Amino acid sequence: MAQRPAWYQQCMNQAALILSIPILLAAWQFVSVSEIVNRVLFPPPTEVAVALYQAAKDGTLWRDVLASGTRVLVGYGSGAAAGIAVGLLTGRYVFVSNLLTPIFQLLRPIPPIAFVPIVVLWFGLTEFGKYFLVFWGVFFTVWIATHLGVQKVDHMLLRAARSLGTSEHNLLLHVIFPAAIPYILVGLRTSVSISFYTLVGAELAGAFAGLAYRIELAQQNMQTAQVMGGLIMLGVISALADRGFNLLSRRFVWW
Amino acid sequence: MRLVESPAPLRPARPRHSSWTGKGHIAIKELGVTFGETAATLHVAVQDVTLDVPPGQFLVLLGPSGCGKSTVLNVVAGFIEPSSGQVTIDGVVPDGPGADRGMVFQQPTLFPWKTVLDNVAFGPLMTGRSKSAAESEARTLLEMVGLTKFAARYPRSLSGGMQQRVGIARALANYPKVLLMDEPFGALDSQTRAMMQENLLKVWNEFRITVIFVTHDIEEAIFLGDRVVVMGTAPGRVIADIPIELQRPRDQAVLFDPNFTRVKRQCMDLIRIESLKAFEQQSEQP
Repeated sequence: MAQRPAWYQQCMNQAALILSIPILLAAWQFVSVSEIVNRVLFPPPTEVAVALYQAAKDGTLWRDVLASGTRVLVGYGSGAAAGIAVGLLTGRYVFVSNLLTPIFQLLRPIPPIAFVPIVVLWFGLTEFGKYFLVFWGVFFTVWIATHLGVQKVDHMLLRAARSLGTSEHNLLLHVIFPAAIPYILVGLRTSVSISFYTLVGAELAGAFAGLAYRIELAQQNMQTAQVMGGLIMLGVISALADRGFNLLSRRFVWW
Repeated sequence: MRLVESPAPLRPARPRHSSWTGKGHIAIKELGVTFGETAATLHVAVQDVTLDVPPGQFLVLLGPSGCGKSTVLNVVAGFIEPSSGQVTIDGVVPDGPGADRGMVFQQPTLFPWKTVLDNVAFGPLMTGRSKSAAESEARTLLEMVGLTKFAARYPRSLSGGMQQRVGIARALANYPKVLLMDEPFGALDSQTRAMMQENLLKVWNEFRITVIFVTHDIEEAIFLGDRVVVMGTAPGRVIADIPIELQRPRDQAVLFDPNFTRVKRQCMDLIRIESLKAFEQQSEQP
């Protein structure tokens, strides 16, 4: 390869990038259509596309996306807001930290999905239960990122602010919070994917709409193409959320 | 070029800016600061320091590293509680740091998420000025340090010297009674440092507030100060208090003034003895 010119290598690298997904689809199509595997259990991408198209046409797809999206948005939004607020307080005030940190450190390691059964007991199959689970998954990650971010704020920055006459509450709002934003964003980004994990757990436990609910329903009816379509939609939405977040975070850390 | 060779007064005309009212009298009385809790870690940083700084004086604390000069400054700023003795500003013991004492640190410590203008306007804003008043105050200060053109920039895109000028403007934007400077030019190259010193004197001339300036650079100390207080190590204490009788305004030509070189020699001798002492002590330790 070393003797080949540089432009050739660049072209090959570019081609590999462009062809990556088409090669996967082609291989998948071939394996399914040639019946190397059971076509009912492993339908080709064309069938999956048709299943997605039909779901889009009859509206179930959009209803599912809306239901799942709302759960993620509400749960993530409230969990992130609470995580930041509590993290600012525990990071700044030893008293609050001593009061809450032991409790949080006890609850934090428990996988959020493990709470699904008890949440179903408490709230049934309501939307509130779903919000709660996503909230639960997001809260601890954002809380600990904020808590650490606050503690890592350059103490000289705090000295500078205080010698400029900054009151304690302004210090928290105008200095500590912005200074901790880079750390907070790491927590917020990690919890985007966490919110989708918990969403799936919550919907599998029982729901009346939603992408993971649709996947489970299709599985029971042996509609494998629909199952795969649902998986792809989850992947696409989750990836879009991550991308969108990345764009947003660049606007919030402009310095 | 001066046409009339009248002897310039040591303390020229009243400052144009600031609410200079003859306030900013710093009295440091028998100050002692001890760090550490147990006998093994106990460290006397400052012992029995007494200084009376009259309003409007530019005092420089000069000494080798470890002489406690920054500690004295931090007590005046309100960041450190004295172990013994006390510090008063105009007769009042300050309760922690406050807007009456502006502070410039060795690192610029600007708020990286704020523009240059917003950094300077932060103090006025925090002390209750309206946003527009704070910004117009900030513009005045930025003009004084020659950074008007950079008002909309973020600190990261400025050189170290420019950042430190923003730091000075920010500290002065509250019109403090006292300006405390902790080796503010220590991290700059020598050319930039010389420019910064002249700019600082120019800006100070407009305010004429009390300054305590900490440095280990002998020439810097004499060039800037009305008075140089030399501190020694182990424990940190005052070993000399030297009035600087050089005319203001000063420029780099003052470095060749016989008065300047005489004081420089005196300071070098004092600091050499202290540095040797500290060096030997460090060598003795296991």
